[in-house]
Amino acid sequence: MNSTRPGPKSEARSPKSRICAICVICGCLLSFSCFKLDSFLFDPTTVDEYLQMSSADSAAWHVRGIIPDSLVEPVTLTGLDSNRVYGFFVRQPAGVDVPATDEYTVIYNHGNGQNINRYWGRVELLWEAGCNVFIYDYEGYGKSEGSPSGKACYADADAALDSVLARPDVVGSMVVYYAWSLGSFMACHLAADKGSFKPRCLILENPMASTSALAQEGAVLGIPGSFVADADFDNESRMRFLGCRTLIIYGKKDDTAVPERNARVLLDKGYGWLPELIDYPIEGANHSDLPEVMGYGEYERVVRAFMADSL
Amino acid sequence: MKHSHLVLAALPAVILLAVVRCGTVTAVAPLHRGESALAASLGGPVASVAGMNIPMPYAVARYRTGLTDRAGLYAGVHLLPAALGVVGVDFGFSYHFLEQRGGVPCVGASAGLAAFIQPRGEKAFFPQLDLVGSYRLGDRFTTYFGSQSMYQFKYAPTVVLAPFVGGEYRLSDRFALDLELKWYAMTEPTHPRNLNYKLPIGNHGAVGVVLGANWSFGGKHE
Repeated sequence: MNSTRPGPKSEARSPKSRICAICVICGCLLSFSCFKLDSFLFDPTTVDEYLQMSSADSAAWHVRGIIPDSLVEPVTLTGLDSNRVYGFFVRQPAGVDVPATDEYTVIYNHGNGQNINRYWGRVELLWEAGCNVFIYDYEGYGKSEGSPSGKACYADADAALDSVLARPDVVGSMVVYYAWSLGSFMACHLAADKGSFKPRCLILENPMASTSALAQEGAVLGIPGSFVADADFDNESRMRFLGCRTLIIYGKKDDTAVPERNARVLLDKGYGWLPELIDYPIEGANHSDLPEVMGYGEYERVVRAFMADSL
Repeated sequence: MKHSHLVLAALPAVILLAVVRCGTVTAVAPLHRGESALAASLGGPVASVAGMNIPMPYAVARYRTGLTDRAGLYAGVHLLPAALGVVGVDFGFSYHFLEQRGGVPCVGASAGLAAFIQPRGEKAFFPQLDLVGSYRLGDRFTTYFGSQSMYQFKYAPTVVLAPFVGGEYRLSDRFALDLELKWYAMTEPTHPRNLNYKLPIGNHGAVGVVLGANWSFGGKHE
């Protein structure tokens, strides 16, 4: 303790100069302070050709190969800075008899990993449920040009919606937004920020609440998301503006987008603001295995029923 | 999406902003009136970063000055938030109300505010309170213990506690090194969480290590 330790008396020095030195050091650090964590939000892989997965990948991603090639149409969009963005429109076979859902078109906003290939098994499920499905890769994913960012992803989602609505074989009032995990930011952006068009409904699977929620979860205390990321990923503030029926379906054991800090936060933000908001927890499911835990038949039934407003 | 692919591969960096609490304890022992000290510390809770389990390298530089032989002021800058364009500072008041006498330790408290400010952006403020007891053991070594806490009011009201034990070894009468073991966020569940903290105790918080150095100058120095 200072009060008892021995030592010679020293000359007093002005602390002012030392404080100035500290300020200068901090100033220097700040002058280099353009580092953000946005790039870590995305984990894309690129491909030369889509849908040429190895059997191991197909098995891991539950791709069954059930959609005939003739029903899969490659689509090219224009993203941010005129980057080419790739997607696929998967349509129902003509004459298929799936009452009440045969005209639904799902815009599928995928998660942060890999590319369209990884989500093809999910496209198959929605197609099997009787929906047309449009899936697209964000910039930097798959064959899409550019690099992923919040702005780029939102621009890509906007382009995807415009492309779908421009199709003669799509009924605008039957368009559904579907999102898994990180894709929830894009789906909520489309629903909340594109006021000129409202989807029939929105389905969020294991959604994320916001970059602030992600930061708070790691740092324990409340850290604004803008401290760590430039991306305007904030579903919490968008929930009340979605303006459409919304289903939030999530695994109760999700240890990636932990429900207490994500799905349930969004539910709390949305109650009372939306025409309908359904809380649909799945016992035993984690972040990536929700359809498998539910069973494909039950998953498809729930999705189809919600679209038909009969869940 | 594989868990390992998650966003939050990066969250070790996020923790650099507001890990509770950062740096070594603010004031183990009082400064004399007019005496000042500069301290630097590095460390944090152990987490998995790029496959390695290491203490978070949170760096803090602090200035302290003695107003009386018991009371003092402190101000610190948090260096790593600057890399994210965030000004991180803390400042406050410390007071030592017991001197070491026999089995009674020297006991003090520090109260202050940690502020993280994004120029032309958002801000976050966290009141903080430290309690520390210390025993001087011989001429060079002081052992200390206590608890740090931070308080959040803006979102869900939260108190985050970090009890610690440490040792200070005096290399000269003006220069000392500190080693501190801290149980960060002892009341918070460790899993599930998007950051892979290691060394929890009963799935709560994470144990971490902080190294510090202190250099005192000026004032009366016995």
